[in-house]
Order: sequence, then structure tokens, then C-alpha cells
Amino acid sequence: MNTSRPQNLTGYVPLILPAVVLVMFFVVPFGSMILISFYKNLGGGLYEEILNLDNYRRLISPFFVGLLIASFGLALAVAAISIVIAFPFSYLLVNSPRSTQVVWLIFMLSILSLSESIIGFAWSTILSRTAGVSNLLVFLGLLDRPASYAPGLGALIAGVVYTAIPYAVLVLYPILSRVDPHIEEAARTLGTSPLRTFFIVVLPMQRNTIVTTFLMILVFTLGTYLMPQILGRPQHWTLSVAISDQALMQSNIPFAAALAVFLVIVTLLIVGTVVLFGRKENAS
Amino acid sequence: MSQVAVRRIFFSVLALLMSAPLLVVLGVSVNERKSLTFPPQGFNLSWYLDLFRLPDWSGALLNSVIVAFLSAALAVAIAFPLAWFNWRYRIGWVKGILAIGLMPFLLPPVITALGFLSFWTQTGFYGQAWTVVISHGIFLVSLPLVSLSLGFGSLDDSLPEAAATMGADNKVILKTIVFPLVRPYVISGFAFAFVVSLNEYLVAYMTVGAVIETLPMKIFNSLRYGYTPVMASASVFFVALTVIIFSLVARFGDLPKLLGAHSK
Amino acid sequence: MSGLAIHQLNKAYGPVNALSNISLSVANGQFVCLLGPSGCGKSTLLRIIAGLEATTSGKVLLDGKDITEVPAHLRDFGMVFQSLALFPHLTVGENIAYPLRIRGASKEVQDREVQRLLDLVHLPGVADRAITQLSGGQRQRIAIARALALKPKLFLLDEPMSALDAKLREAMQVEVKRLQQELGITTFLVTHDQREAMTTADLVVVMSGGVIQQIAPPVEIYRSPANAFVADFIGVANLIEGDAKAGGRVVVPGGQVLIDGVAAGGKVNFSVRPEDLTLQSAAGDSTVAGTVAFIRHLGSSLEVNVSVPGLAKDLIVVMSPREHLPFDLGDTVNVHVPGSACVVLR
Repeated sequence: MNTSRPQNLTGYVPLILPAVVLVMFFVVPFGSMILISFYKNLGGGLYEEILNLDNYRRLISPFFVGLLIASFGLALAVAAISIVIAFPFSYLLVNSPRSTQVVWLIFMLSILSLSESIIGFAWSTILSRTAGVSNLLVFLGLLDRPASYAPGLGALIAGVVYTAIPYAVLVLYPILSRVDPHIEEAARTLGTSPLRTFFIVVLPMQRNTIVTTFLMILVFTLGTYLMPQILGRPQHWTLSVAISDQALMQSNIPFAAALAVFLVIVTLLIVGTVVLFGRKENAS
Repeated sequence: MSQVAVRRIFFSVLALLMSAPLLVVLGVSVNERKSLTFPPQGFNLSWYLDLFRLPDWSGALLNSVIVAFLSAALAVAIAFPLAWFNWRYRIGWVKGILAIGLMPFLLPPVITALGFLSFWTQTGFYGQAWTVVISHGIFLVSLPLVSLSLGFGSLDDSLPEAAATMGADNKVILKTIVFPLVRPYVISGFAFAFVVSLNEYLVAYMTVGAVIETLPMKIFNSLRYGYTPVMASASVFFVALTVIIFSLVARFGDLPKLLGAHSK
Repeated sequence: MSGLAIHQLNKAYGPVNALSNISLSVANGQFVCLLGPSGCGKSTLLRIIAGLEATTSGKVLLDGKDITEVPAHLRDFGMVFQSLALFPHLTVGENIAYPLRIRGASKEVQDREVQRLLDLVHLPGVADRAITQLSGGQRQRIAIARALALKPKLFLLDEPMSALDAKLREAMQVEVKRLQQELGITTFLVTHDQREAMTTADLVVVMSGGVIQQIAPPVEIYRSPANAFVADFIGVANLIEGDAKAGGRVVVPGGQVLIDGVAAGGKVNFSVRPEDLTLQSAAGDSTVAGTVAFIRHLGSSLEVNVSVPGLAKDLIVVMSPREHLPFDLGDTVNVHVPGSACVVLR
């Protein structure tokens, strides 16, 4: 196709207009947030435009270390559990009939899009004393009386895994659908059982995919915000919760911004690793 | 054991586990009495009527739908020309602008939310209802951007070329060939943005949380300040709405292909 | 002058030259085939003629007017693409009427023209069908009808028949040629199939590596190829190298060949077609000795490979299947090479 440049400036309008909107409403706010992270907080949502590193100095504190442990501990646990479930699921899904695939994709997309407040509510209900699974356990005679499992770390992990599985499936599904089915068929004709094929052919072949998906879930989980508040206790609150808490409740926008900048750096490092892995994959 | 048998068992167990929380909510939403109990005692659909009858709940629902509609439209309006330009001219550095469009969705939402909070505060517009439309529109622009890039990428290059040899200029080609063929991708991009905006909490809360209550905010607030069965009926309503919209996308478009899968 | 002319055209993609120094002049009403292996630049040349690709340097002239910078949509040429490029969201009739519709033609005019064009390609009554309801051959005809809707000054075809099976392809070639003669329209057909070029063309342009190798009518291309590439690419050629001696005697591995007018001294390369060679048992004054390496009966012909020590490739001899072959595999034979059939290559 003739891909020559637009002949005059009017030809660039379809590019310039969206670009201006994106710069004005994403790049500028993002940049100003970075700038604010160096300002001095005056309280009550006000700040003084004096550049200093105080907000970043506050990052070296037990409060912040606790946040890091809560955020990354949760993210690592969720990513590990989700991938153990989502990888074999996605592998089976791409090999299933098309109608099955479509139904599952609709289901996964729906859960992924559902508001955290709805999912949090659903999980707090199913783990509650009056309406939860414990009633079923009592009915089956496994438990003496109904109990409540939320809030708690287990409830929090369950709830976040619940949202992370669809995310992992939607990352894995297109990648696994591109795998040449003849490779597995070749292994099968050589006398490998389906289960062994999965473990000695499919898993090693997809090692990079698994690593990158794991990292993507990590980033995804770092963004969870309502779940820790609904299903967790205050000591389980993550960076995302702390950032909005500092901004809205403590009215300390400069410190919230410094925390956000830290989160951005961590995220970009992880995403950078993912891209690097992808390059290596393409090169080999 | 064959792969099909493994699949049946695995899929059934996962389907049960993943639908259980939603089924419990469905159960409590039809409770006779105003209590959080499961299995439901009695059967009563009045909590669904309350969702539309009580002004605070129907208001929150309406807010959510209006915000979702406008911001999905804005996201598509930004994404379409960008994706079209990138496809039509294939200039290297345009990819950089596309990357900006993908950033908000890649970063944790709290980043975009805080960015907008400080931006609207600094520009003096904080608290204006319309700011949530722009905030959501920018936040969700990645969704139509991805689906439209896929759509343009799936067009056979010779189609616009054929139109050109028959005398069609850029504008006519766009109107008569390109747009009709990428329409499914426009619709699905809009649908994705609409659904996600409908369910989004954090960006909306941090920009206009003080003046407007959307349904996800209403549910979260009710969760904090006391149970009411309308929470359950509202949740079920949103789950149903979300499933219906994605089913429609699947019905009129190729969902596996939209999600980037190659058919075997 | 009237017709299409190309002057010293070059096309580069970065450091790669896709077309080098192309010059070409075609009178109105001619059927021209751009023939060459894939990647030779023939499609790029066609796309430059169509205005779909920009030139790096050089000019394209139509009836003496410079059209190098005229965009595709203002050239009024009809083009059929390799993928056919039928619009999947439009019916057959809407596809054919597309160029008329975007020019604001009335519904009546559109309908009348669709009827006329469908009759022209012998497919009446399919106007309301969807493209997907047509067979490969029918789609081909619709793409041709659509390209002819505007009565274009130039009819361009970019390997449109390559996807069809052999029988249908031959039928379409005859069809396209018939249409072209009926309408008297200047036509460019890109192909890598030499049979297609032979069937249709008034003038064949053989290309390789972005360079024109030879421009000539089909019979001339076959009988007097300009160089080893053309000889080898068009049909089957025996390429032989020898030492020129006095009196037109060329000493080659396994014997000698008498070619009139070859000056003595130095190497000579020549090509000779398989059907011009004959087999005999005794050596003569223009024969090459070898052994029968392979025999195949192809139904309409009989093909014998003769291996000659010192020649990289077997000599191929084609004869009528009705001839009795008094030789067997491994027999020593002499191949008669008539000098008059040899084409000395540059």
C-alpha cells in the first residue's frame, strides 16, 4: 500500500488532535504528579512549591517497609497461585471446541471487568458467617457451627486470585493459541502420554510465556485497591490503598505522589523485563 | 485419562468455584427478609425493584451509565483517528504516541487516578462532574486503541488500493470501505470501554467521588456502612449487564480473534 | 506519442534497488506481459504505473503527458489485484457499481452498467449475490468487470490468475485476451507463468533483479532469447559453452557444433531448445556424444536426458512419442545439434 506521508498539514490532523488530548490529559497530569512529589506538604491538600526530597526520605521508614511487604507479598502469592491454575486452564481452553472457548472468554472477560466492590462484596458474603460456605460445611457435618472467614489474609488472597485468573487467562490465551499443534502431535506419535507431553514438551516450551505472564499478574495485582479494604485488615493494605489514603484522607498529596512515583518505577521495571523477555523470545 | 476427560473435570471444578461467589450474591438478592442469609429464606424480587425505585440507587445507576457512555465515546473518538493514521501511513514515531495511549491502562489505576486528582485540583476544575468523563475517557483509551489496531491490521491492504484505482480519495475510501469493515472493532472497542467504565471505582472516586456517586461507589459505601439487599440486586444486575454486553460482542464479532488469538 | 512510456525509472526501498533504469514504450491497444520470477520487480513496476507506489526517480508518461505525480485515484486506470480485492461487505452488483457510485451516477445508470458488465464477463444475473457465494473463477470475472466499469485508459492485472487451478487458469487467460481484443484496451499483465505470457501477450517484458532483460513479442523471446537468463526462464533451454575455432566450428565437451557466423577465438555461449535436438548412433560434424541418463514419457512428448562428460547439466532432447527410440538407459548416443537452431548469447 502507498504509505507515503500526508501531503499537507491538514493530513496530520487525525494524528495531532488525539496526540494533543493525550499529552494534555495524561502526560501533563503525570508530569505534574512527579513534580508535586518534590513539593513540601502544608496539610489540608495544600503544598508549597519548594523542591525538596523530604517525601522520598519518608520512604525509608518502617511504615513504608510494611507497605512493601504487604503489597509484594500479596502480589507474589497471587501471581503464583493464579498461574498454576490459569496456565493449564488456558492450555486446555485453546484445544477445546470453539463454542466452549467463546463461553469461557465471555465469562472471564466479565469477571475481569466487574467492579472490585462487587467482587469484594461477593467474596465477603460467601465467606461470611450467615450466608457463607461454613453453612454448607455445617450441613455436611464437617463443622459444628458457622464461622466467618473474612476479613483475613486468606480471604484477601482468594478474592484477588479470583480477579487475577481471568487476567492471566486473557494474557495466555492468545499466546497459546499460536502454538503449532503439530509439535504436540509429534510428541504424541512418538509415544508420549498427554500428561507427560504437557510436562516435558508444553511447559518447557512456554517457559518465557510463564515468566512474562507471572510478571504481568504482579503488575495487575499491585493495582488492586478495594479488595484489601474489603477482604483484608489494615496491615494488609497495599501501596495503592496507601496512595489514595494519603491523597484523600491525610490530604498529603506530595507524599502520595512520591509513593506513586515509586510504584510507577517498580511497574516500569517489571514491564521492561517483560518486553526484554519478549524480544529474546522473538530473536530465538 | 484423555485430554477431554481432564478438561471436563478441570473446567467443571473451576466453573463451580468461579461462579460460587456470584451465585451466593444471586441467592441473597432474592431473600424474603432484609438480612444477609444463604440459602435464601423465601423468594422476593422487590430488591430489584428497589434498585430502580429508590432515588439514591437509581441515581447511582444512572450516573454510572451516563459516565460510561460518554467516556467510552470519548475513548473511541480519540483512538479511532490515531489507529487509522498509524495504519494508513505507518510512520515509526507514531507508535510512540500509541504507547502513550496504552500507558494509563498498563500502570496501576491509582497512578492515573492521582495524576487526575492533582491535575483537576491545580487547574481549578476539581469537583466538576464532567471531569470524570475526560478522566475515564483517557484512562480507557487503550481498549478501543487495541481493538481498532487489530481491526485495521486485519484489513487486506489491496481493498483501499482497489478503491483508489477506481477513483476514491482518502475520505471516500474511509467512508465506503474502511469504516464499514472495521465497524465490528469500533463497536467492541466501545463495548469494552463502556463495561470497564461502568465498573471502575478508583479513578471515578478520586476525581468526582465528592460530588457524584456511581454504582460501584454506592456498593462499596453500603458495604462499609451497613448491609442492604439492594447491594446484592445491584451487583447481580451489573454482572448480568456485563455478561450480556460481552455476549453481544461475541455474537456480532469474532471474540477469540478480538482477543488476539490465531485460529488453528 | 500516444501510449504509455516509462523513462529511466528507478525505485529504491532504503538501500535496496527494486527497479533500476527501467525504460519502456507501449503503443495503445497492446497487451503487455511483465514476466519474471518472484521478487524481480514486476509487481512494483505495475504498482508504479497504477500510481500506488511512488518512484525514486524517472518518469511515467501517458499519451505524452507526465503522470508520475498523479495520485492513483485520479489516473482512471482499471486494476485487478492478486487477491482480487473484492469488497466483502458489498454485493456483486455493488462491487461493480462502486466506481460509478462514488462519482454520483444515478441508480439507473449503475444498474444498466452492472448488467452490461456482467454480460461482458458472461455472468448475467448474479448482481444481488454476496461475494462469498461465488466460486474462484466467478470472483475473477467480477473483479475484471469492476476494473472495466470506467472504460479505463489502461487495464492492469497483478497476477490475478495465480490462485486458480490449471484448467480454469487457461480458460481465464483466453477470456482476458478475448476481452482485451474486443475492447482494444492497453493492458499490462504481471505474471511469473511463461505459458500465460505466451498465451496473452503482444509484447513480453522479461525482468530479473529489477532490470529489464528483454522486450519482444513472445515468439521472438522464445526463439531468440537475449541472454542466458531469458533462455533459461522461458521454456527449457540447453545452455552450452564452447571454444570458437575457424569456420564457425565450436568445440564443446563431447564433440563440436557448427554455427554460422561465429568468429574464431574465445569462448562462446549458446542456447538450443530441446525440440531442435535429435538422437543418432553415429557421430556427425555437429554432434555431441553422451550417455542416456533418463527417459520419460510425458504423454504428448518423449523426453530424454543425455549426460555429457564436461557439461554441468544433462542435455534435454524432446521428441514425438510416436518415434521409436532405439536407445536404452546407459547407451552411448550422439546428439545432433543443428547450428541454425542455436542462439549465441551475449
